[in-house]
Amino acid sequence: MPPLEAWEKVFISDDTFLESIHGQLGCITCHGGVSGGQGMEAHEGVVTEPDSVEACGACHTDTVMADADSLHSNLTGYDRVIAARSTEENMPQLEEMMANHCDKCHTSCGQCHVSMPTNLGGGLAAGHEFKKVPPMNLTCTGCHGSRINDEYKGRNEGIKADTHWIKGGMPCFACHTADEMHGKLGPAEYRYDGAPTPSCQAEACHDTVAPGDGIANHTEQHFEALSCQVCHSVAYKNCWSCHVSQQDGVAIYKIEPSVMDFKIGLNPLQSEDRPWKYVPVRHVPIDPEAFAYYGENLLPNFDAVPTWKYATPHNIQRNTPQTETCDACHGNADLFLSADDVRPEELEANKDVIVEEIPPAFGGGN
Amino acid sequence: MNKTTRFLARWRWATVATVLLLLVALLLAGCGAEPTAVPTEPPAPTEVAAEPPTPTSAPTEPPTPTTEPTEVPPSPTPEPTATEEPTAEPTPEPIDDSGCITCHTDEATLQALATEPEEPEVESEGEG
Repeated sequence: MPPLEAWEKVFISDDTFLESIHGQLGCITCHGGVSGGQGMEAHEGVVTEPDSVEACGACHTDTVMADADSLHSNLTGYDRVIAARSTEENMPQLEEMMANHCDKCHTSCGQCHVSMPTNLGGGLAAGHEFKKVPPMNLTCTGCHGSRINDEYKGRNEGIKADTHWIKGGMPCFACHTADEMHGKLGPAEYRYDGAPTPSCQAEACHDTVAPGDGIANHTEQHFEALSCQVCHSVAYKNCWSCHVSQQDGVAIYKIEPSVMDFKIGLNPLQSEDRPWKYVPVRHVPIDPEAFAYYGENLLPNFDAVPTWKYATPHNIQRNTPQTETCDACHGNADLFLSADDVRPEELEANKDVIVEEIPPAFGGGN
Repeated sequence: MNKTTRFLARWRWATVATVLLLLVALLLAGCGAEPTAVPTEPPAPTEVAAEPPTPTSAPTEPPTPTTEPTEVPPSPTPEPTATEEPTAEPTPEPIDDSGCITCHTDEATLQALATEPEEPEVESEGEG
């Protein structure tokens, strides 16, 4: 969606909002400004985006308190991985970089429930109406657009949309609950911290899927070794070499064109919650020189974290190339992440993800 | 009476006379003497405070020994001053945001007034 015109961003198109419970609070209660002011002079002290705690906390106390644990709000996932690749003495420069390039991606209450995300230029999403359920096409996919949205809605050439969308018409929040978004599931250090949320086999979803459920290849061995996406997702975007800088105070991002690919790697997050040996892995746009504008060698521990990351692509299909025959996977070296797929400067970082020995072919098709 | 017996008799009379004199003296002392007043004043402070007492520490006076229940006279009510008068909460002036609403519900006005802050051309490349 193109950015809104300047006037559209601040236009209360439906004045029934003024009679709503939020509208009756009055403009100045949340946004500040000059009582009785007229014209532009009334804008002195105006806060475009009210602080979540101050503006919303008094009424929505539980949610606002929990929001401190929301990764959408605290960006802990970014902080954690950047810190892991760097050292304490580099953090001042990296924190400046984060402030210039990352922090505007964090969400406040208003950026989901009232307005468009800042990185889309902001502006009222629906005439200042407070949406209990945020409009997914303006808010969720406003930020998660080039990968998630394109995968989910089938906008990558030659790749079908996710079956949950094309058949089920399921919006984001059908799986990603308000509790998850609001941090009510507890603190998390990164997106995949803790049990899978959402889980494919959750109650009222695929809760009857299990080894021996009568579906071909739903074997005990496959359930132990493979995440669902290994068999049921298809090619997705991989990104390389994002570099950030500034020009006249404006943040600049440069990134290489994305590459559609599907790679199975060794599970970098293997745990009791995610016990599988194999998972799809996606290359993320990090680069050893990604933040060089802010200083030299800011990521001296670049190899501490893989650049091919645990992935849950949003293009789920019942039938995929992997499900066609046993040897679609077994013995198919193209499908697995090998050293040849990894840039030389990233081999060390990905040594625990590269599949050295692929499952042998059976021969003879099914 | 031999010599020894005469001596003992004289001693007996002398002892009796002495005891009687002492009793008379005690009797006179018990009836006529003023009671010795025990000073009840507090001892003079032996230390001079080097620093003025802080406003929060009330000066401590030694208690006056008394068997009567002490009645503390009510402290004189200070004359109210202008600054100490209980001030009534000022009635908050109603917030007037009619100006906000007038403009932000008027498409034509906004189109005439709203301007995007100018930003220099930037050279970002690639997908976000």
